[in-house]
Amino acid sequence: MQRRFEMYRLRDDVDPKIVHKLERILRGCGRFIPEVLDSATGRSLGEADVTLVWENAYESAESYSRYMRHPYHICILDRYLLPESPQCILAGGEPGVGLMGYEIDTPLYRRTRGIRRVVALRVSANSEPDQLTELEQALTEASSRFEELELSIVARNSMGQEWFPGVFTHIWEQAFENEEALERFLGRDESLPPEIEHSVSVHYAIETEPM
Amino acid sequence: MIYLEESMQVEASNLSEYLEAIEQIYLPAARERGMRLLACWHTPIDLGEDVTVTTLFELRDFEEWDELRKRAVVDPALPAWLAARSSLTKKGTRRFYEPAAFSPLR
Repeated sequence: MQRRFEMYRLRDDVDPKIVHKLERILRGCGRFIPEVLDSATGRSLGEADVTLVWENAYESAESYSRYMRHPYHICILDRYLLPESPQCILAGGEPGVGLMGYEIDTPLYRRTRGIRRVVALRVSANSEPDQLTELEQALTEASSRFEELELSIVARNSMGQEWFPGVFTHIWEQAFENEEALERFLGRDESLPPEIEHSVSVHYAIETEPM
Repeated sequence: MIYLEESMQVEASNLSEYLEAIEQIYLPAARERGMRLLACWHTPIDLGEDVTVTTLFELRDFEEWDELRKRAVVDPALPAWLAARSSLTKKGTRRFYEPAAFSPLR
């Protein structure tokens, strides 16, 4: 499976009704494009320069490709999200975190409530393969060390590289029951391993569309 | 074929500058990416209201548009066009159309 996150920075002057409409469109996307799985959105609650996150998944690269050329994507999603569209509501400038994703065998990430935290990581290009494996293992096993961390998946970023190569090499996807649990986790005196040169974290309350 | 239509509202005083931007900034890069312009029209200028400028492109299908969109995202010429369009227009829409069975243009 391909797990995917799109992180948008919206213009400040956008009518809140348009933002709500876009959120509903994104969450309900699977009704029109069956390849889009596990659609959820969330308003960024942290300091990152991100307004809105759309999380989803695809069975395969072929499914993702069908999504990319589907009329609903091109006619409806792109109306709000493609900079070339006159009705685009994205803020200009640098994309910040932008598009990220990773491959996974089963949908371990699946949650319909609670808090999601996505940490975009740039691991040093000088890291040895063994160091990388140890790093990925240590972060993945964090959920067994910290009870408030319900989910911890670390994987290599496989999306957005054609536009922003090497900006973020890895993703650390986490889930918490609520904001208090996230605060407890963040309050622990744990620092990221030294191989990580740069990181940006985004967290949000997971919102799904009633089916 | 499918058709991409973009309609922008422009103050009459900005019309000639906007048409010039389409011709000199947008179209050369768009053609380089593979876009095929069918028409560019505007409503009459002396109606006491904003002018609507419409461009119409033809595309083989949505698959072709997917390719053209990828090229546009990384096109270094695109920001200059978006800045020009933003400064010279008020608002607009972009829609894709499929031909009706009886349409002379198919």
